[in-house]
Amino acid sequence: MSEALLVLRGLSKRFGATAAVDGVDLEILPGEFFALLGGSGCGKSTLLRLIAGLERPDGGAILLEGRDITREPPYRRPLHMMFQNYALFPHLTVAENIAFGLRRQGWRTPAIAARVEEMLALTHLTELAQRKPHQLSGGQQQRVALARALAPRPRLVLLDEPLSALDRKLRQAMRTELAAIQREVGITFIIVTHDQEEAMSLASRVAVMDKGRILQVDRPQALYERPRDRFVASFIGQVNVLAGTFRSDGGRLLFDCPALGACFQIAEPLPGARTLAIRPEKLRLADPSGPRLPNHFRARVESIEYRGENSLIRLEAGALSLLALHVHRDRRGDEDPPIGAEVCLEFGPADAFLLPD
Amino acid sequence: MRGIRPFTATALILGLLFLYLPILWVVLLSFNESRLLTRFEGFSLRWYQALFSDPALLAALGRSLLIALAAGVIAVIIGTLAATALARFPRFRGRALLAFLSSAPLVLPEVMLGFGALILFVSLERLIGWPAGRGMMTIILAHTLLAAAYVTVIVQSRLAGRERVLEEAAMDLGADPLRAYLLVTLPSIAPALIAGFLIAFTLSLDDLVIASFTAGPGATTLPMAIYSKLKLGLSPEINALATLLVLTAALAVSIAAWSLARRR
Repeated sequence: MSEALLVLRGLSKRFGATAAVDGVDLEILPGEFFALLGGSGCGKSTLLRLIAGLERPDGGAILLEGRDITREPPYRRPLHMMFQNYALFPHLTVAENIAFGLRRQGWRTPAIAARVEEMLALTHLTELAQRKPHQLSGGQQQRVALARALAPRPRLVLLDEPLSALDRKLRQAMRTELAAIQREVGITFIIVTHDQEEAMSLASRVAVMDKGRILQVDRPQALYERPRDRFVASFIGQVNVLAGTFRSDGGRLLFDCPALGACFQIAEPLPGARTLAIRPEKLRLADPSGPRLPNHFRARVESIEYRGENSLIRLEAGALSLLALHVHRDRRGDEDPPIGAEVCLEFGPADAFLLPD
Repeated sequence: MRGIRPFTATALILGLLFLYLPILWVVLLSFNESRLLTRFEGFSLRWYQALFSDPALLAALGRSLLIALAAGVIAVIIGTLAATALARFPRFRGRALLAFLSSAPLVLPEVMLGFGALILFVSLERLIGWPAGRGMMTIILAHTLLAAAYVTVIVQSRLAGRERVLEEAAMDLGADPLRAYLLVTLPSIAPALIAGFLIAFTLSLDDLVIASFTAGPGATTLPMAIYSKLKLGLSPEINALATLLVLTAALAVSIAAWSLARRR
């Protein structure tokens, strides 16, 4: 952890009265694929622009490999950005676009030609080298933008919503390619995205942002399974939230839920917590012969959204509205219950987690 | 023309005739054998011959082209600089004033522009001895004044959008602000610069009012020469001249359209 590539210390940026970035502390490790995840207006793009030097911070510091670059203009920072709409130079060919950064750094002509060849091969653009950007498809433009950012061997590549301009199918394919390219070149990537699936599937670590602050930084699995914040829990995936009180009774950890008239066993303590959260797929329909897990309660089926490999079941229990994901594992035993039916739901102690207020 | 209904087709043809019939008429008459301007009496190139052996008219044409070229180039430089300031710096002292002043010549009567320029040139000559008398230089300056306003508006609308991001991309890749402007911004607004130059060129080429105010002896421009001929009775060689001008303009517009289409 000591050898961080990029360190942000108390970084802040205000636009008028609103704080776009509000005291952000962050460490990025060499070679990692890091994602900044958040809704629109959460400050993630501004944070990226601060790192690139395209905005000047109002407070805080940016250190790259231990060197303070807070006051350095963008053209002296050894990092490159892939812009949201690619910002390819329209009057230059694909090859000239890729060579742009190399020329500015004073590479020699033969070295430039070799590096451009290498980048074209890496991004499968060799045949399109002499085309102009407007003659390319969206996916091809995206690859040119990536090649242009990677060519001068930066310490860090910043990607601002790199896949958002592509259609759904292409996005899936480019996601796989992006991950493969990052592994191959070994350069540190910071990606900004509003798409949780994109962040979770690409990044080794994800920072969730809201209102200019970083709420939690963690591996994707940890963010999903053990969020430490209400916003994080509800932003990533879906979640059922139960109000109640946490108590420790002898060796057992319990959560009293008055709305369901039940007391649940849980696995991890959080003193003072008044919220229990459980993901829809952890809430299982119990076998008609009786529940097998220690926590169970009854609920009525309100509606069912059939989605092939699973069904999203909307349930009502007392005044509570809940979601359960019913996975169709085999054809015989896993039929969805009829609407209006009274069912028994169950979950294990480790399936739920407490949230701070 | 498939799918166009009779009414639409008629309206289109009438509209085009309204716009281009006068020009076509002039072109036709330029090949007229007769000295009469209103009756066609057979094909001939005699007026082209007459035109190319009229040194005064040819000198006026050369002068007008030179003035238009100079005014166009200067207007593009000044207009681009003003447009850059207006598009890139959202807030500075006097911005509103600059925005107003740079587009005011668009709506001011040309008579006022010409008269104002004349008074200024005369006063300046008295005060600092420059410009010494009126001539091509003063016409170029006055035409630049009007043309730069057009260039500013055209370039500014082009600069407002995408180019800012392109400049950021250039700086991100290691270009300092000056290089980012020269290597990326200028080439990507080239279509606007070409369009601005052509408009400035055309404005200057056919201007009669401003030129009449600011010209001096021996600096007669083409429109001035044509106009003075009108007072003495028109000769069909004007038709030949007009035909050549139309041809030049059509060629310039085609080149501009082609370059714009190629860029996009």
